[in-house]
Amino acid sequence: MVIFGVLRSGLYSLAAVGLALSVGVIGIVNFAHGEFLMLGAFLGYWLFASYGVDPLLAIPAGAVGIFALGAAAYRSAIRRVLRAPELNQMLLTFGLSIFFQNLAIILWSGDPRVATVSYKAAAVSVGPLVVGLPQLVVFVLAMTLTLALYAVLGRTRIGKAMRAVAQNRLGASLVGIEVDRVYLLAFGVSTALAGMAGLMITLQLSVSPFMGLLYTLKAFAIIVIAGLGNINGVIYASLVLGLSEAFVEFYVPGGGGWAEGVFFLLILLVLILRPRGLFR
Amino acid sequence: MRQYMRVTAVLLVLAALAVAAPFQPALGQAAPIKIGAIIPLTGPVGVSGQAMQKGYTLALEEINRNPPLGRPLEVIFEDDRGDPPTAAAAFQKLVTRDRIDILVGGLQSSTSIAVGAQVLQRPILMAWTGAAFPGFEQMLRDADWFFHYHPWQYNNADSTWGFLRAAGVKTVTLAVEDGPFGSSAVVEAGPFARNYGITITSNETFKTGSPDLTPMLTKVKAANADALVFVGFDQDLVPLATQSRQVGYAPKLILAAPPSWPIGFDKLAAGNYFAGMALWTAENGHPASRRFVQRYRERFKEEPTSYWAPLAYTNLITVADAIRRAGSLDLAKLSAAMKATDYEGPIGIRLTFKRSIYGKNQGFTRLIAFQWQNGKQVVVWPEQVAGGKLFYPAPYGR
Repeated sequence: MVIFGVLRSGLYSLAAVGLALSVGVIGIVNFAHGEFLMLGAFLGYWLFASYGVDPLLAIPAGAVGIFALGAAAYRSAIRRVLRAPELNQMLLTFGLSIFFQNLAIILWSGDPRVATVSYKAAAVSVGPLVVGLPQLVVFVLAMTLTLALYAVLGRTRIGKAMRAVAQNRLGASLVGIEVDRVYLLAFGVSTALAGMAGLMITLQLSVSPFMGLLYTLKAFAIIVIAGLGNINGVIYASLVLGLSEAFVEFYVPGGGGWAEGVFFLLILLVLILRPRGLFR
Repeated sequence: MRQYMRVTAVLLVLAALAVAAPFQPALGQAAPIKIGAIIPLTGPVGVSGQAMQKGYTLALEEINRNPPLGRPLEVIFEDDRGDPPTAAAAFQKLVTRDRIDILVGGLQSSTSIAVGAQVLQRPILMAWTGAAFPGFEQMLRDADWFFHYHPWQYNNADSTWGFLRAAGVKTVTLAVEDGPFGSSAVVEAGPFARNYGITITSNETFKTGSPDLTPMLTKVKAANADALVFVGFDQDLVPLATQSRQVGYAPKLILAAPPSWPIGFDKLAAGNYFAGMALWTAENGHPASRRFVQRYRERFKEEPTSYWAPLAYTNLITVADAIRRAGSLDLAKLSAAMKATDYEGPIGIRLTFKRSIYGKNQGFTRLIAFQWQNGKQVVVWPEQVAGGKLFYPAPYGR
């Protein structure tokens, strides 16, 4: 169960780290985050079904495509509500999520679709343990991408600019950082990370226009557990969520139905007992 | 005074127009018989609704070559979007503005209930394809004008457990999604399983859409039953198939009962030898089914993948036949003619209307079982329509 929990946490962390970036740097809770993930998944499916491109190989192109879409969404919509009340921001991103979901229904219909990559059901044995190959690949890739984002934020000029803007927007602009450009970049990267998570999901599951909400909720739970805006805590929070779900599913009778309630319970507990997050 | 006169005159003209409107078609030659079809053309089940529309189109083209009562049929499609209030409004529009003679269509139980409540207030011949929820059947239990084509939930359960018994299954693990779809299956499973001498060794639940079913499958594997009966939705089938292989779970049979299968499942190697229940599949060996598939391919340049297409076709063909036999559109005569329906079409099973547990006019009461065999849904039960043999134990992963 530990292995199952750890493996699912990889994808969770990649899905959540983008949302944490959006909350931490721009200060906006993007309710359409899961829909960017869904669009990434459909892009992966479409490239596979139309041209036989393996979703893993499509990750760079998918990241660029979803980055561009995210940047366009920022330019055309998000930027306009940055100084508006938070309720307006939430309503706008909620509207975006409905728009993208319906766009996907129009383009691909409501039916789930399967990208039948040859290794979809493959498993590898590590001693007595048997682990799904796609899950293992996705875990390694997701963790690599999450750690790469940490490195970018910690060591590069643009990463430091993002952190500076996150800490103090006015101060950052006074020292010459183009805040709007940083916001654009942060939002684009945030959506690209979701898109890459979506592409990886096509390796394991079917894709459907309605898949986004689940990941928005899980990502939201993770960033609350980590502490809103605490990007570094996302990996640990993902592990907490992944392991809790796996243990509840296995050890609690009828636990499969309870597992999804785990993240709501964790949100409640964290908000009541430690509102600034477990890893802050 | 002059103003009152003017208002009265305008009202009189409007009233005259309103009275005259219904008689307009009668003045023309061969005014069409109007059929209203309420189906979901968009929304989550839009694909099934679109398949229905294609079935109706094929039937309509065939009927209008020799129209009943010498009047062509006109089908007015209304998209309910899978939304009950939209479905109810669609019925109001069809009866008040379009003045339909007969109502057909229907897919989901929720929209059917919304429409049924309206039709009770304004009875019309309702030849209804959809809804499996027995609550809908109870709602229209006294309606002579209500004809239901799709099997009810208890019919589905009876077929499922009957098939498992015929396959030789003795023990079953039940894995159900934790919503109403799954919970109603659990309630029904016990009595039907007992009735067919099958033991349910364990029940597991999962959340539909869950990306990881491995903890549940690990428990299911430990239960070691002959078969797994999986009650979930389309999106749950891929993790079921792939993760079963990954945890080395290979019972003698995996039977899944989703409303539809995900596009591309036929190419998923891990899903090979999964069994399913349906009213019809394109591999159905009945001659009428083969003809239907051929015509569908020619007309729409695609394969029929959903049983909703032949069901809708059957729906309209039998309605047109009833109009012919009734010789009029009088509700009582039409209902009597519908009751005398005896039709063997693309579904491959003879259609007659008989009493069901609650309702007066139930059409199909049995599903067929199929097994995915190298990308095809091969019908394996009942024998009369079987196109191949069931692999039992299924060679999963071998």
